[in-house]
Amino acid sequence: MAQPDLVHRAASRPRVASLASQRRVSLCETLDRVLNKGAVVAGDIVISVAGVDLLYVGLNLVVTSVETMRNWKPAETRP
Amino acid sequence: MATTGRYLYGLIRAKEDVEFGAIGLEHDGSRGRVHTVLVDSMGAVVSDFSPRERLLPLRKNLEPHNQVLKEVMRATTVIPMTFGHVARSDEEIRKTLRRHRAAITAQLERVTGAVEMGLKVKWDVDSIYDYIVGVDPELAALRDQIFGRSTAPSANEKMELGKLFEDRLNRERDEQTDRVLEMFQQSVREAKVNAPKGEKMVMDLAFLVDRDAQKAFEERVYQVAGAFPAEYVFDYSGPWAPFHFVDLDLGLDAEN
Repeated sequence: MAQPDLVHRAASRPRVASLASQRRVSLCETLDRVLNKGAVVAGDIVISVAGVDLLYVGLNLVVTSVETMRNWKPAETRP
Repeated sequence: MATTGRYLYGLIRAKEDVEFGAIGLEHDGSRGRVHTVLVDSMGAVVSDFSPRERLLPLRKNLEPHNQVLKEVMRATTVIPMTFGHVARSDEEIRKTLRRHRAAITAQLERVTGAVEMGLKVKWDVDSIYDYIVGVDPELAALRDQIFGRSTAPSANEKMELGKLFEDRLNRERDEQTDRVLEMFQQSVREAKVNAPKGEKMVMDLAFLVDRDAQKAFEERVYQVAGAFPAEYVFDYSGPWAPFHFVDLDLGLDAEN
């Protein structure tokens, strides 16, 4: 089996990312492509998977809101 | 015999059946044997899968989809399918491929000999608000004007500041994206811009890169990253099947 995809960081200030976090990021990269992109068949021969879109939208929302929460700073820390 | 359907991973050029091994989605308790269904020099990369089986977008199903495509990519150019396509029979696959022959051939042409590379650029800063205020004097002035008085700012003023912030954040993204795209112009065949996810993401790009130029592309990423201030972090990934560079709907309504 091929090795898992990894995300590489090119930065002028290198930081070490753990393998676990790299894998998590690369899973997101995979999901983003496999679920959202690529050729589709919208015709009669295919049973499309109900719930893919829904699940993905749900997942996306979770990721976004965690990211937003992390960025949230209490007002008094602002100059 | 009970009808066994076929799960579709992607489309390739092929005149003879190609075997990719037992690396497919699990079916009947073991990993599916990945092979091709052929018609008119085109091949659908498939493994057995019952049309009645529930197929959920779980990691254990999604990863094989991607891994199969990676394996196929080693051998030939592939048009990746989106996850979740199951055909009822080989004949149905052949009919569809035949019907869309022109479109499939054109798509294969477009991505021949190329791989996809992903590039996400982020601002590695504690507060995106402080960062944008720091690079935009006009925004800083408005912020000081609104918050620098003894009276509390009104809701309208805060909204005005928020709108200007949003505006400047997006302008900064657009400017940096244009700059990065230009710096990669010579190194890539095509580029695709996705909407950034999350406040700190500057840009989310996909590039179609010649397979032979992959090393040069990676070196270019480091060069480009080096030309940016330390707050900019460049994360690249790949090679991927050319997911972002496929524009193909094999549905009934599509033109022949």
